[in-house]
Amino acid sequence: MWFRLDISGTLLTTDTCNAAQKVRRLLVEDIPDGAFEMDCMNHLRNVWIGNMEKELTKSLNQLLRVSLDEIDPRLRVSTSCSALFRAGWKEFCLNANYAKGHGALFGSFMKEKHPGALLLHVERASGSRQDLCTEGALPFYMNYEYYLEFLDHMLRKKIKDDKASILQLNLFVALSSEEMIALIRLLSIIHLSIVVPFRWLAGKTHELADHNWGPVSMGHVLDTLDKKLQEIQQDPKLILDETFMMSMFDEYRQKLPPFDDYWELLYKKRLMSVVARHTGARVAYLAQVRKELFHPTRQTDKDTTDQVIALGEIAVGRLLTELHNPKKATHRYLSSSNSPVCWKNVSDDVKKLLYGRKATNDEAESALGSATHEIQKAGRIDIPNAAAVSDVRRNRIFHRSTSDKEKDGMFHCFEDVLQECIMRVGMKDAPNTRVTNNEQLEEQLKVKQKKMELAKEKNMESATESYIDALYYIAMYGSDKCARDLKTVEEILKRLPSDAQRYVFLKENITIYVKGFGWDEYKHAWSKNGRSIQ
Amino acid sequence: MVKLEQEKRKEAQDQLIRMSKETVKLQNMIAKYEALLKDTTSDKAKIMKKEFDVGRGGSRRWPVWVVQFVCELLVCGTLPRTIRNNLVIMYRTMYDKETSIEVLSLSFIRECRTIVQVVGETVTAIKLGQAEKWDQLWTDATSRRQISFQTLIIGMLGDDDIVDPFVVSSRYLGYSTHY
Repeated sequence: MWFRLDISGTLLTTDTCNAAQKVRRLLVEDIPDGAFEMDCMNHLRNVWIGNMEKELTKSLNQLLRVSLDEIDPRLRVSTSCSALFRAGWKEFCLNANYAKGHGALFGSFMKEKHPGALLLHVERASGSRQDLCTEGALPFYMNYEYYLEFLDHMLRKKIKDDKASILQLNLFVALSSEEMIALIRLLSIIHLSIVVPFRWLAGKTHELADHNWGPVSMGHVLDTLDKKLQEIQQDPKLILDETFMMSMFDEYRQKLPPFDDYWELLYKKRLMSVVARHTGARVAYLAQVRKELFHPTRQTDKDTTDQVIALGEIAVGRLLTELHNPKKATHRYLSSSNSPVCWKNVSDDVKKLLYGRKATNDEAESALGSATHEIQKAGRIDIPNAAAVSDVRRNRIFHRSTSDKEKDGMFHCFEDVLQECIMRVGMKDAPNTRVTNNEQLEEQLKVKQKKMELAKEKNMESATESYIDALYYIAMYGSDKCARDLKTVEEILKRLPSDAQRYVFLKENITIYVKGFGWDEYKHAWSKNGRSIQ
Repeated sequence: MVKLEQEKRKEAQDQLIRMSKETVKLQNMIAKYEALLKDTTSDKAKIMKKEFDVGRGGSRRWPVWVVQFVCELLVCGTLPRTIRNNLVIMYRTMYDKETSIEVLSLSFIRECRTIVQVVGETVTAIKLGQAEKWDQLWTDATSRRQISFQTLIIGMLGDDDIVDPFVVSSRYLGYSTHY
């Protein structure tokens, strides 16, 4: 029996890059009965957080410029917290996968010196981690005193000809800075109060249809976030107010019981074992982190309070800039933008229609990640082959059930004859498919080559134009239009009757040196925003 | 007296019927076990040997079950270089019998990935053809080994009203901005 395929009301989800948005737009235009498009909420969040981190790094760089200049550049110390977390993962990760790290030694140091301590696992920093800058902050905030003690212990060792590890020196310098601790504390607060709830709501949207929740509802969450951030901007001290920060999304805890359950799980039920305590003691570690963040007991943490507020103001300012920038994807989901896709302008029917759909692009990211894993595992495998193996696995086509609860994959649900038929088709078509794969690759490489040639031609054109310009200005150097010493310049400037003529004279003479001789250091902007500067 | 004899005869007849039923049951059971025994010994054991390709002169190829087996192992994540030995180990363990002198070549096993690709696309086409509605589409692109490729995933709402994703393809990008 054949059905007419219905693709009206389909939701198209991509990340926020320009190419993906263009593909999405073209697809939506091609769907006759109307489709909906949406950006991945995880990507949106990571974009604001990433830019917030850059802003904080920039501010700290300005603040600590003198101190940073005094540090040996070989140690590569920077105020970027992502760089710090990557270095920390290399040095302290208990998996000890980094050859120059000391994770195994650190593990035994903790067991010996601090049995019973709560040691949070350092966040994985290998590969690309967009949310690393906030997620990685929690273990650093809780463990930094152990890290410093261990680094001190290691750096005091003096073995003949044994140079101190640059990685350890880098971490020691960075972690002994109060400003960096303030930054880590701020990022930890942002992680627990904004990132964790927003990530859960985005990731679980498709499971919340029974609670009248769908992808469009994320626009409502953005409105709430916007409102709360504006309140913090008015009163930056709120960043250290536990009640305010941890209840930013409380209205959704009341509306969505699973979200409330998750909150309970995080702070009451999710436990973690302490170091080397044979009694098997387990603690609700996030509750402890939360307590330490808002009501610190360590003197260093207490001393960071003013800096956290100052940095918090910068962070919130940047987050608001990101949310309200009309050129950025998030802006159109805010009700203040009054766009057709914002929460207040989407009709109830459309909201209901999209229940059960996902608000993130995790599926596509995961498929690409799985294909990448296959490529890494198999070495010189063709990309379509690697992708096919991973896709068939993800689609569970060949899956064989191992218990009554599971179902066999789609292939095994066919009759034996059909299974054999499909396999024979595969065997027969494989050589042609290989040819097609190679042709597609060739085609892509040709396009790439063509693009490079076009770019080269364009460069040549501009290079030729520059060459002609240079010849012209060199010829001018030989004429009486060029003033070759200061005295001549002064004489000519006195002689010329108007400012406009003096301006033209100076511009020409400077251009002779810049364009004729390529002295770019004397380059001068002659106009700004299309208007000449005089 | 007569009544007593009649009752005894009836009892003997019942006994006989019961015994004959038991005998039939026993015979069925023996037949069943014999069949099972035959399955696991030689008669129905799959032959791991290349077979002649019908209508292709003298060319020979591996039977479909071997190719399917290789494809399933590849999808499970088994490395191609280990599949040949795995297959021989399993065959000998299950059938207690030697495989043929011919063994799968490594290049053939690697080429089976293309068969996986065709089978995957065929089954995906069947799945998408059966779907009444495509509820959500995801797409993304990336580049690996300086080559761009993109993925398209189509989700269909399941009985539990949660969207069930199905990867349609991950292929080379003909033209791309990911250079």
